[in-house]
Amino acid sequence: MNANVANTIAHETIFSTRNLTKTYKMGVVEVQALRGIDMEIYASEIVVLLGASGSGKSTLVNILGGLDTATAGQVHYRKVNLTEASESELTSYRRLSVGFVFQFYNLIPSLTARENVAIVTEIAEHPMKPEEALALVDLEERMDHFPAQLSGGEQQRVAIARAVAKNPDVLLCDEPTGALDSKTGIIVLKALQKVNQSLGTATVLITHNVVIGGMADRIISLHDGKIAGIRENKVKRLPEEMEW
Amino acid sequence: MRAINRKLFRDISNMWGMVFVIALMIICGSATYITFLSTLDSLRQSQESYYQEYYFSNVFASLKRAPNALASRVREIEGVNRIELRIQSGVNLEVPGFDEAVTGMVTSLPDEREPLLNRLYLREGRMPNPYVENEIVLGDGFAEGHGLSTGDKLMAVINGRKKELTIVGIGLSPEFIFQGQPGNTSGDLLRFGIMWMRRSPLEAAFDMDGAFNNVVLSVTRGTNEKDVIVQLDQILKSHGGLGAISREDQNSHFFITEEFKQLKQTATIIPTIFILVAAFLLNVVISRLVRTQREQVGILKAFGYTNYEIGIHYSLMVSVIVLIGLAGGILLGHDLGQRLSALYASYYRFPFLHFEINLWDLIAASFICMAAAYSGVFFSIREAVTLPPAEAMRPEQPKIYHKSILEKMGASDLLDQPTKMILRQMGRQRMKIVFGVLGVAFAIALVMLGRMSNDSVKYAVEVEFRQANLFDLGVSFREGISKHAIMEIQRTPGVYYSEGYRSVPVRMIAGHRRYLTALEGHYTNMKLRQILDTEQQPVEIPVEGLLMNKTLGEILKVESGDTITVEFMDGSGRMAQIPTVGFIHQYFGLGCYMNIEKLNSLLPEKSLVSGSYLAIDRAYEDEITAFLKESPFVGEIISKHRMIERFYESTAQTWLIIALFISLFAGATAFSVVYNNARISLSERNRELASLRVLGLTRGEISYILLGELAIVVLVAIPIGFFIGWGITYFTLWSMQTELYRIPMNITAATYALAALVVIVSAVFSGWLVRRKLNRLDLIGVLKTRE
Ligand SMILES: Nc1ncnc2c1ncn2[C@@H]1O[C@H](COP(=O)(O)OP(=O)(O)OP(=O)(O)O)[C@@H](O)[C@H]1O
Ligand SMILES: [Mg+2]
Repeated sequence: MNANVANTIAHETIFSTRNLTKTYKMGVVEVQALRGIDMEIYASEIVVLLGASGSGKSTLVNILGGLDTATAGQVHYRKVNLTEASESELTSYRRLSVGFVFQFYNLIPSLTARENVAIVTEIAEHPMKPEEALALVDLEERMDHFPAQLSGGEQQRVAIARAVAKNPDVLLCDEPTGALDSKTGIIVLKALQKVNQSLGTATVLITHNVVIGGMADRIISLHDGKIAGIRENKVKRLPEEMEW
Repeated sequence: MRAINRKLFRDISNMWGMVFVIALMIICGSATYITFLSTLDSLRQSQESYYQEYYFSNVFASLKRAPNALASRVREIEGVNRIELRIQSGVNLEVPGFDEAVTGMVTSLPDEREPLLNRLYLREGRMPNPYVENEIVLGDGFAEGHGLSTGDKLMAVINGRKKELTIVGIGLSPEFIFQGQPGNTSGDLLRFGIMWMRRSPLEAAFDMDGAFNNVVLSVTRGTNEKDVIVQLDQILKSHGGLGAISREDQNSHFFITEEFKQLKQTATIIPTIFILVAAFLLNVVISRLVRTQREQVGILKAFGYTNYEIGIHYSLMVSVIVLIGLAGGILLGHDLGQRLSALYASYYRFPFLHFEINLWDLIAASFICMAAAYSGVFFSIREAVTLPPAEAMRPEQPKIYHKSILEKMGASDLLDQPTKMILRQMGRQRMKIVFGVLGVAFAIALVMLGRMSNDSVKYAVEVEFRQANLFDLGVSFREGISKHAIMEIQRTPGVYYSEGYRSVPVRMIAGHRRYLTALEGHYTNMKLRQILDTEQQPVEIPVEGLLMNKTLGEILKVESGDTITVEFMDGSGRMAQIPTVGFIHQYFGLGCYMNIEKLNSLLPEKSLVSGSYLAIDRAYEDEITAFLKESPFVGEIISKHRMIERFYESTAQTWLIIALFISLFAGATAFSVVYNNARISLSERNRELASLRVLGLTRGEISYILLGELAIVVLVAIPIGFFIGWGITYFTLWSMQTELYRIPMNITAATYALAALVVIVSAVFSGWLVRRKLNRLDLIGVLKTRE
């Protein structure tokens, strides 16, 4: 297994942001969640976003994923300027190019694991079969279970399968292990890494956990809505080698 | 099946409780709408085709007697199409085993052919053989009421002579769809019999050889009936013409028209109010239902589902619910419509009454329900999709609460934490609370509306019949008789007191306005009846001038003090100018009253009475009735007590059924609203409540937090509902007024109590259902997954 496939591929830029700013207004109070972010994300790499609670990680990822819009500045996805995209352009961007994994899984409770994946593959352009996606996260056995019948780790793997099944360009994960114990967390991370290696999907992974940074190509640290530092990982670790 | 459609069906089956109650509301709304409107349409259509196929005449005239040869002059009137000369007369009947006074009306059939107008529909048997005496076709309502059929015999007093008649056929005609005595406001199938005989035996019995006393005409299309009537009256004047009338004034047609007018009001207003309330509530619950799925909308959006796709998804979900409701509504509406029209068909005799759901009513009902549901979906979906999906995806942000007014006023220390939660929750979701209160209030209003006829009509009957009429028996004479006969009646054992009156058919004329009615003459010191003025106070009959019904005064645009022209329609052809000295109040009818001696002085035959009121010892009622029946002069005998009883038996019963049915629907609606409110609160707040349970609160305590809100909503809604109910009832009664009925507004305490009870019971029941759900709240499940 070649752990460095991602690094050997040319540094094709997927995302680039310029002076990205997000301000929440709550009555008279203004919260500056992002205060001028400049960064790039490249094809096929794993980027870990680190930062204290409230530092603006989720806000950044939501804007990258077209779930939220910036107050000022620019975001480009490849050639597309997301800050100027219309509602329907954002929708089709999400539909075709991005996969999401959330901390609280956000599965649809009334659908089984397989159906939760199918609901995405049915509207995608070049999807895998839901079964294939679930096999990728080692859940073939539990395909016909409802979310309430699955453990947290299993639900999160269903969410990963759901996110990758459309063969997205980029996978955005907001604390995918945040609600899980370390053992289960590692299983989930393995699934993410496997997807990244076999499909070459660029992956942005939010975490509080410095250890998880070990599996990244690059680690971007946020502090109080600004980038505090970007570090390249010389030696990538496998999830199973990590411990916390 | 696509996963998203699977989600649709799973969601529906998971929320079946809510789906059921929403469907129930649609069922109630659309069923009421379809039932009433389709019944009305079916009745109207039956009437129309009956009139056409059996040649219902356009003009009717009675007279003393005229030779058949006069027909050629009648035929010369321009626009006359068919003519039928007839002999028609009142008769007294005796039905074996039935003691009360029974009167009837016999109409001649041409000897050797079918009548050209007002043809008979035979239910069974055959037409009487020509020239055979004593064979009759009997009206079907009367036959049904007494269980008579062909071959049975009947005793009749025809022109003073007793005869035994053989029933050879049972039939009906468009002339007698409503079979009641002329001038009597309620149809009576048992005490008034319609029958037909061949002409020759009637000629013999009434001494009418080659003559007629009744003529009916049809006119060609485009002819003004009024012109025909004027000319016909001219021709008949010298033969004792009693005034020709058009269909408008024909007894049966008049009553059906009035009834249809009223049914139309009921059938339009009540179901419209009902379906609009249902639509409003539907809209509210659907929007809340969709709102509970806000986060799922967020997820779908995050995956790239378009707003359009999401909109379609929820519209489909709602369509399924609406279709379930409509299907139920159509089935129920069809069944109830059939029953309701059968009920009407027992009063109004049609040869065929084919109940059919009117396509347009169906489309209208569906449209209203769909529109209400879709607008609910539309606005809440729009609200959900305009949020950036990130908003819906974020772990639930604590919502912003404020201290409630009670707390701000300093009651904070008195309230425990759960009560504060209830109050703050209510303060945060003011719109929700407002809609909840309105929903329950409308349910209360619907119950009150259902009881409207019952309350108000009962009140009118009590005032008009029981309080204003102090007599026990009312007797009308076949012809006016000498007032000395009253003394004789008074000597009958069991009769305490008897008082004569005279009633004459008149045409009231004020300028170009005219109205056919009856003018009653009474003694100024009349004891057995009360005439009430517009303030409902008893008034004496004036010595000079007449008292006029207020509504009639409005129709004729007469003011107090105006002199009015009275044309007597008794065959005398006399006219008089009489001043109107006051107005009186009546809920039913349009009568005018004056002093009997004054009235007599205006007419050729003085000192006559046409009827009498009797105060009797009620223990002798049957004997007195039997005795009076023997007299050839006596026509109709009305027992006030039996009439009121009968009224409650028939009409009031119909209303009771309708009230019950509407109250049930209203109850179902109240239940739907309350249950939905509680269920949606539960699904909106189940994490919060589960967390509280985890923190150690008991089931009772969390039920209190959820259901306490419900209780407050219901309690606040009750007085508001009373107010809305009062308004809707007032509006409905106002729009239901006809010339004949002016129903007073009267809402009884029992109605208020019932309305409150209905919603309280449904609230308690839905509270209980929700409590059961709370007891089974799956703590781990709720906290593990996010809905
Ligand atoms: N909808 C909102 N309205 C107001 N302020 C918000 C909203 N969402 C986020 N914020 C604020 O923006 C800032 C950044 O929030 P964000 O969720 O991006 O942080 P985060 O780095 O993801 O934190 P965590 O690690 O706790 O998830 C915080 O101060 C937060 O309070
Ligand atoms: Mg976050």
